[in-house]
Amino acid sequence: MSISRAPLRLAIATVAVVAVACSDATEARTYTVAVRVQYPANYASSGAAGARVVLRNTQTTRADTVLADTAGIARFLRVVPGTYDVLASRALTAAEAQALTGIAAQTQLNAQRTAQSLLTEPTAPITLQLAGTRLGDLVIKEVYFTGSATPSGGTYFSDQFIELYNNSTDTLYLDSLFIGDAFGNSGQINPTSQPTPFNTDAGSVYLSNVWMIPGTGRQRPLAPGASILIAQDGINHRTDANGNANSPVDLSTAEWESFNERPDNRDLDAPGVPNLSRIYFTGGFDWLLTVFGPAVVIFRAPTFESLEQVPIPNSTLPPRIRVPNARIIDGFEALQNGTSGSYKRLTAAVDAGFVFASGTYTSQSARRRTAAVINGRRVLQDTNNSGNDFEVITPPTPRVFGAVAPRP
Amino acid sequence: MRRGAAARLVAVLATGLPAGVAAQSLGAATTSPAARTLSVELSSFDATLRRPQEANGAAVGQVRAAGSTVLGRWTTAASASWTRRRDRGVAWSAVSDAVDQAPFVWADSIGGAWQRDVVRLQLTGERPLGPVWSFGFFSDYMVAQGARDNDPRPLYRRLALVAGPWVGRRFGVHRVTVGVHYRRDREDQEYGFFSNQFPALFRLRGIGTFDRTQLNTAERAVLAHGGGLRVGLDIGSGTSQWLLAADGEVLGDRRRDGIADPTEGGTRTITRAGGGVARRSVGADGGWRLEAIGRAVRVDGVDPVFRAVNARIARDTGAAALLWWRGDSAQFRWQGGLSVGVRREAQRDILADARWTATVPIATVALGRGWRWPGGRFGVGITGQWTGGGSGNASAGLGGWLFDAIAARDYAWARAAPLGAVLHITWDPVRAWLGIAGLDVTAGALQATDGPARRRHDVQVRLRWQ
Repeated sequence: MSISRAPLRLAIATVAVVAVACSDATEARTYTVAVRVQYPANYASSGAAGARVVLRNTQTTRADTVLADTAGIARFLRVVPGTYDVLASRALTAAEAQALTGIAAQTQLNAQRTAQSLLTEPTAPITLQLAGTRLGDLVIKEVYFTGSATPSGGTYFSDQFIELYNNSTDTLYLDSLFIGDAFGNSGQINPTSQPTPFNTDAGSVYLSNVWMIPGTGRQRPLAPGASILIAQDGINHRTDANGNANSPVDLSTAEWESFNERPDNRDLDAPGVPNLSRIYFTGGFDWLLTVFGPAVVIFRAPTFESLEQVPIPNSTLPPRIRVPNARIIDGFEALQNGTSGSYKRLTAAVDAGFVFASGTYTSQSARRRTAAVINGRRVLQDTNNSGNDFEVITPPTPRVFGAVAPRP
Repeated sequence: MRRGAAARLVAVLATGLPAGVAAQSLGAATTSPAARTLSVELSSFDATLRRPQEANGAAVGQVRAAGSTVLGRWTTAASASWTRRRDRGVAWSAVSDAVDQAPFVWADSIGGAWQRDVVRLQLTGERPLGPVWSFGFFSDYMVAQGARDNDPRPLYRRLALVAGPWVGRRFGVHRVTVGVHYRRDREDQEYGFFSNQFPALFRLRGIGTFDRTQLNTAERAVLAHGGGLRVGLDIGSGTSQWLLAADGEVLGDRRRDGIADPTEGGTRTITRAGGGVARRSVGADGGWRLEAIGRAVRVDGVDPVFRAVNARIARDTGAAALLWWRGDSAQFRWQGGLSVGVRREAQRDILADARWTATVPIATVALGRGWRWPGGRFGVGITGQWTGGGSGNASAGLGGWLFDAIAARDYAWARAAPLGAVLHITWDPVRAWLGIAGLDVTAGALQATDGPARRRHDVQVRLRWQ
């Protein structure tokens, strides 16, 4: 029948139109997103294995969590296109921190990247570098306090120095860092020598002299593994006319010296070495650390005026400066000999031990031991016990580890 | 049997099923010369058995005027209606029809009552072109607006037009009609303009994907264009006739969010196709009609963020129905009907891996009786509906709370397996009071049987003037 073909053709055409329209358009698909989590640059390894990585959709707030594999890669499967916040965290145990940084301290590392667009599939991993509480701090690396004997058999103590070392994983700023020596005898130096009367206060250290590194905040950076030298006098003690040919040290390149400006000009001001700021001074013509064994601390305080000045009991000497333990960054203590423990001036919280030299003017110094070397960065031992952490050596070794700080 | 009464009964019967083949007619031979009607209709419903984005109750009033006339060689018909409705408890929808606009719907979690107005104008015309050809057209124009009573006081304005020509050719007693149409639909939505707070707006993008923002105000324009093709075939005439029809339509829409710096809010491709076949036999004292129909709708939603299809919706229905009546067109005595069908709906959110599918059987049976009494002609019809639990599955995937809030409840609606009944009473008085030519009263109820106490009650009263 002739009429049957026309509607048939039209029906076929209709079906064709519908079929074309129904054909599959490109379907949305999910992505695989890799997040590479790295430890801070100074750590022993790069990939932060076990890091907890969170991928949070900023619109839906849906968050997925994946732990990074041994290479520090966290892979998120079936990620819906969108905008995400990427968060990473890694809690280090003391043992893990020890292995990674040489410093045994629990710490929390974090990293984040906000508003990361993942509208197209990323071709490379998203890299996050963890950061966190600084591990380690500024430490006293070496104290040369014994002085040296002169060729004529005399004594010479102007070649003393203190070396400070950045034992942390981050750059530190030394601006307004205070340094001082504690009041009190180092031992039974005289028959009447008594331990410091302040030893009943377990919460503070009492200083006789306080010096400060000048700076307004970020002018004195010190990189991890770098150190500065603080000289009593910043000269080459071996060659300088005012020096001692037998002195073991050249301090002409020290970063700082403790110039004690006096009307009689008895202290030598080395022209090539900047001077520390003298904050409080009760000594003689120079900042002489006792050659029998000093106690030295470095600390921070909002202002020097915020520290209490405490009179010495039953004494007419000037008052001493009380520094609470909490403000002290590091301490070093040397005493006269191994039987001088009762003369300790630093509290156990700051320094639980002490070292001693074989005698005075022996060119011996106390140098902190090395705990580990992480990526070429030497990590010094710091157990808050000078008896454990320091060794007495001859001759002194200023900058022995090679790292130097930029000159101010 | 009057055609109108039978069609009304079919509509009641076919709750949840597509309209019959006759309703898909291209408009040819459906108008009676010089007829005029005016109707006023009041209706309301309360529903705990509903889709989650639909109202849980409404009061609706409608005034409708329709007429037809012959203008030269043109046979024309037109109607105009104004519908005023108040919807209560509309949640997760700040648009004119969230179900129709899925998946890209503006919404908030608060919900509230809406005031809506719809004005609709329809016009059809037909004229012969020689002895075998005929030409016609139809147009359907709708203006609607709606606003919610409570903050953030969303509102919308909508203009929709569908119009197109058709041609028909007779082959003896047979007839073929072919028509095309163009559809344009624009909806402008505003959000927060009359709010004194900073509301949260959810941009739904599927059954498991959305974004949410806190804002002052927002506006969205939804613009749709599309077209389609219809083919109809009437084989035979008079007492015995075959009717065949097929149609297809493709509609594309896009959403533009904002004015100053518009951004894409999602685009859709909607494909509709349907067809049916009917066999009608009309005798001197009754007749019957047997028909089978099917419709399919596919929605592909291109996500504005993913820039690919992420939402897919499929709605399919198929049914077979038998209508039977005794009595001629002026004095029907009995009418009965039976239909069986299946309804399938599937929604999928690809990236959220959320989906639900429900396929349920539906059966209705109806019986009507007409009398001529001194006061006029009465008709009573009662329809029973059964919906089976069918089969289906739902998986929230990554859809989370959004799936639970909407899709899971939608799935529960689809699987509710309600039992229902509708009572329909008509009265066409012999002597018109206030010119009233007829009164129709319909009351219906649906009760879910899947456990939760969900139900729906409908009441409708219509007065007709002729």
